Amino acid sequence: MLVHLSPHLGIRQKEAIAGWIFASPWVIGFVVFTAGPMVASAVFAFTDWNIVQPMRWVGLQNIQTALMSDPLVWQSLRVTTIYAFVSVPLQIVLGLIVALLLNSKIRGLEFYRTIYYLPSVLSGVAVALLWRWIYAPDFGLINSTLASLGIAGPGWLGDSRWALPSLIGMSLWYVGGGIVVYLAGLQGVPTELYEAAHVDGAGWWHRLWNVTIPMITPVLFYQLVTGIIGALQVFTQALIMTEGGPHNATLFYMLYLYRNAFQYFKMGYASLLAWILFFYILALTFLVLRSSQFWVFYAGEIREK
Amino acid sequence: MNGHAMSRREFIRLSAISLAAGAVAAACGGAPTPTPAKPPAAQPTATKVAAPTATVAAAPQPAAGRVKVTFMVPGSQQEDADFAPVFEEFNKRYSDIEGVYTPAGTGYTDQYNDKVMTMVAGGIAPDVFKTLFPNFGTWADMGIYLPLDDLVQANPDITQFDDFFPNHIEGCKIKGKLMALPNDGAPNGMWYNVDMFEQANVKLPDLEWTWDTLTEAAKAMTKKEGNVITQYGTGRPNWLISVWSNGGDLLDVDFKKCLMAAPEAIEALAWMQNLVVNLKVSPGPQALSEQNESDRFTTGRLGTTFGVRGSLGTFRSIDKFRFDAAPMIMSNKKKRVTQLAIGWTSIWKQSKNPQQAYKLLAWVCSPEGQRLRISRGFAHPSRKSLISQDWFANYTCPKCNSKNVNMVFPEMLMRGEARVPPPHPKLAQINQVVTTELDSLWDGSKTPEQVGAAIVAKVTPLL
Repeated sequence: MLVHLSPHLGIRQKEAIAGWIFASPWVIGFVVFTAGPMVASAVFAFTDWNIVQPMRWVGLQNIQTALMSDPLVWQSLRVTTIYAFVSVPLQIVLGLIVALLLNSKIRGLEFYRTIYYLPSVLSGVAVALLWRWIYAPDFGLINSTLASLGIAGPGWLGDSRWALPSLIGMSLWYVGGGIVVYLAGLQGVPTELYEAAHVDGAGWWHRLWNVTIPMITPVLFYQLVTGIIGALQVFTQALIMTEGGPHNATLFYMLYLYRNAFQYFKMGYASLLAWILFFYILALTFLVLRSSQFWVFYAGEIREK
Repeated sequence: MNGHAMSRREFIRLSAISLAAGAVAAACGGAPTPTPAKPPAAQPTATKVAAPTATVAAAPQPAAGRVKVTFMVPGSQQEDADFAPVFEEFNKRYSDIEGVYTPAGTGYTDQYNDKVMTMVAGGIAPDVFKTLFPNFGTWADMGIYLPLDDLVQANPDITQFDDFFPNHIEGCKIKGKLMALPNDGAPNGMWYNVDMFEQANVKLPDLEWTWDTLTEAAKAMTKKEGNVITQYGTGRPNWLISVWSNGGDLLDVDFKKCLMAAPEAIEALAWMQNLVVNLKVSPGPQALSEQNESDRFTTGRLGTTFGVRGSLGTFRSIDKFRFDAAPMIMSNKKKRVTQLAIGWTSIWKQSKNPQQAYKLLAWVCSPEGQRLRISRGFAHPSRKSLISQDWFANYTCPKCNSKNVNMVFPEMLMRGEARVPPPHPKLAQINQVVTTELDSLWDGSKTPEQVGAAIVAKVTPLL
C-alpha cells in the first residue's frame, strides 16, 4: 500500500510513515492518557482544586504544607520506605533460593514450579482477605501454630508494632512471579562455566557465588528496580486489611494520596503528593542504576580497571 | 502487502470514509446516553418481600416532548431492582417526563463519590442523585446542590412535607437551607442475641437501659477459654453517639471549635475504654482484626451490636439463635441521642430541568415511591405514614424475637432522638483524625483525656 503512497517519497520516508501509523495507537494513548494527565497534574500541584469548583493558584503553598506542616506525609513516606527496603530484598533472596531449588533436576519439577507460581495469579483483594485470616490473633493459622508450641503470638494486624511486619511477610506471597524470571536467568548461565569451575575444584557454594550470581546480576538488577517501584506504590493491602492503622502504622503513601484525592477532594494537594512520590522513585532508581556499575555484569562486557 | 495494490485514489477514498466513520462514532460516544439497566438480581434467600418482577425503567427513546431526567444512587444490583417499580410508576404518572434510573455500578463505596464528582466536573451529572456519608456538607459547600426550599413551597401537593420525620428534614438542611430530601434514613439501635441474654440470666434490654446496665450485662455474657475470649458481651459503642448521649458534641454549633476535650466527651470516651481495655467485655482492635462485629454477632459470639434496621438484610439469615432489637442505650445521665443515616437525595445545581427533576425527587421520596422500593428490602422510610403499614410494622423472620425489630427504630424518630453528624465541609478528614486517635483509646496507650486533647489539637486546624 505504502509503495503507492507517493512516488515522490523515498523508501526511508515511507518506512517512517508506516512506523508512525502502526505506532500511533500507542502514541495517542500515551499522550492522551499518560503524558497529558502528568502535565496536567504538574499544574494542579500548584493549585487548590476540588474538581468541581474553579482551581485557585496557590503557588508553593502545597509544597510548603507537604514538607513543613503535614506530618502524615513523612509518616507515610517512612512506612512505605521501610516496607520497600525490607520486603524487596526479602523477595529477591527468597525468590532466588526457591528458583535455585526449582532449577535442579528432580521429578515433578513442572508441578512444583506451578505450585510456587500459583499465588501470583490470585487477585490482590482475595489474597488480602486470606491473609487476614492467617494473621487472626486468636484462631489464625500462625498464632494457632505458635500456641501449640506454647508461644503466645502477637496481635499482628491489630497491633501497631506488628502490623507493618505482617504486611511485609504477606508480600512474600508474590515471590512466585520473580521465580519465573530467575529461572529464565539461571537457565541462561552457560554450562561450560560450571564445568570449568568444577574442573578447578569449586564446590556448590563457590559455583553459586562466583558463577551463578554474577551471571544473573542483570536479572537481580531488573528485579530490584521493578521491586522498589512496585513496593513504593503499595495500596490494596493497606486499604483492605488495615485502613492505614492502627496508629497510622500502615499508612502507605499511596493510601494517604488516595485519601487526599478521593475522600478529602484535595486534588491539587494530591497531585503534589504524586509528584513527590515520582521524584522519590526516580531518585531511588537513579541510585540503583548508579550502583549497578559495581555489581551488575553483562555477558561479553569488558571493563577497564 | 501482498495481493491487491491500492491506488492513490483508493487510499484517499478509504481514508475519507474512515475519518467520516470515526467522526460519527465519536459523536455518538460523546453524548451522555442513559446506561441500560441491569436485570434485576435474584433474591439470595427466600424472604417475605416479593421477588422483583419489573425491569428498571430505561425507555429506549424518550417520546416526543418528554423531558428526560436522570437519577443515580450507589446501590447494588438488588437496589437497582428495588427502584424498578418506582420508575415504572413515575413514568406512568408523568406523561411529560421520562425518569431514567442510572445504575452507578459502584455499591456504597468511595467509587460512587468519584463517579458523581467526575460527572459533575464533566458537566454530565445526573439531575437527581444520592449523597453518601460523610460528603453531604462537603458537596453542599462545593455548590453542587440546588437549594430546594422554593421548589418545596411551589409543590406542596407532591411534596407532602409534613409527613417526613422532623429529624430527617433537619438533617437535610445546611445553614438553614434545604439541600436534599430524605429518600430513606435509619437511626442506630441495639441488636441483641436473645438466647445469650437468657443463658446468662440477664434481663432483656428495654427503653430504660443505660451505660451501666449494658456494662453489667456485657460482663455477665463475656466468656473466656484459657487466655482467649470466645464470647464478648457487647459490641463497641459508636463514639459520637456516646458523646452526644452524654451531652457533648464533636463541634460547636458554628463549627469553629472542637469539643472532644470537654468533660461530657471525656466521660463517654472513658466509659468506652473501660469496656474494651479494663473489663475486656467488648472486642478491641486485635479481636476486630480477626472478625468484625457483624460477623461476630451473626455467628453467635457477641451479645449486642449497634446498627440500623437495614442490618436485617444480614441478620434475617441467622438460624442458630433468636435475636431482637432495642432502642439505643442511654448515657448514665438518662439521655439518648442516636445517629441518623439519611439517604440524602438532591438535585444537581446545573440540571437543565430543575422543575422536572424536582417532580422525580419528590416522587422517589414520596410515601408511595418509598413504599414501592423499601417494601422489597430493609431500608427505613423517612415517612411517618409508612411505619404503620403492614409490610413494615409486621415484618417477621424465622429468628426475629419480636416486632421490636420493626418498631424500636421509628419510635426513636418519633421521640426526636436521632440526628446526623455535623455537616462540616471537612467531615471526612475530621472523621479520619478521630478514628486514628481513637486507636490509642482502644489499645489503652492513652487516657481518655489525652485522646480528647489530641483530637482537639488535630481537628482545630481543620475548622
